[in-house]
Amino acid sequence: MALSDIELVTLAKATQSEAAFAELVRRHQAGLRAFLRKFTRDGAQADDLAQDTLLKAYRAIQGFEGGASFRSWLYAIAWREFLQGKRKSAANDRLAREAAPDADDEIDHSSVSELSIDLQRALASLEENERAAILLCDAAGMSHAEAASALGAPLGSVKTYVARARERLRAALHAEAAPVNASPAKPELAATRSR
Amino acid sequence: MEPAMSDEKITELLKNDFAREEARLENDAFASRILSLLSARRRKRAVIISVAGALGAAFAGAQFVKMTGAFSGASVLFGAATGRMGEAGHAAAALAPQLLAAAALAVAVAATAHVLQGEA
Repeated sequence: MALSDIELVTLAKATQSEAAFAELVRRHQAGLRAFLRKFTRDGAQADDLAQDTLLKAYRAIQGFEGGASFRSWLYAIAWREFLQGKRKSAANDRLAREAAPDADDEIDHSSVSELSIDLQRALASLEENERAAILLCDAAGMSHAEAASALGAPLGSVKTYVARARERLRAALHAEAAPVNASPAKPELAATRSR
Repeated sequence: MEPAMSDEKITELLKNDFAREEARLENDAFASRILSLLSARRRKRAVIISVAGALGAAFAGAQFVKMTGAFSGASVLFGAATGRMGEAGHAAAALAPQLLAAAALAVAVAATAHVLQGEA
């Protein structure tokens, strides 16, 4: 039977077991990177952040007290790393809202539906806190409390961010849909809308 | 004009999009790269600790004679106390400085090992 995250953390703490931490890395790296990629829209930056996060988590594992889930603790490190990097870096412009994803983004657009591209655009139009909150709660499936812990924000604020983000996404996707419906160029989107 | 999307529909879109991305990243080389980095750091740390430990041991060995001399004063008192205990007492008194010096070094080594274990 597979060990739970908390059991693996306990094992990693008690025995300084690299194998236990390795299992945690295997279990959470894809989700963490997916979140960071969706959030930053920059594959390279997201992977750098994820790498720093996981190395920091390894060093700080003794400090994990189990008050929150391991996942939200990990994402909290990532969020702090992002904020720290943002403060330090003069390259904030990379995060400026652009209509299209970056050229070096590793997303394989050939396999991404038009709807997904609309979704990326709509996500990009959100404020950072809103985007992070809705990605954590709606996309990654965290509870509001977990997301609040990860973002270091009050629970009420996270609920507000999520509600506001949904509202803005709805408006953005609706606006994207209007010209699409009139044009046969995006049949997939039109088909999805009509389902 | 189409009706606006429901919250559930938005959540479903986000969830599916996220799941696709997550599945795409699940089996690439990222995890093994992180684990190699961790192993490399651990090996580097082990080398540093080993070198520092060897230097420390050499230094401690060099201090052994000095420490024995410092403890020889204690052996005089110990000898006086054990003088009435025959040959065994005299042998113990003669060994006392070496024993005390060895014990002091053992305590230092144990304390260092304890600290390193917590750090590792």
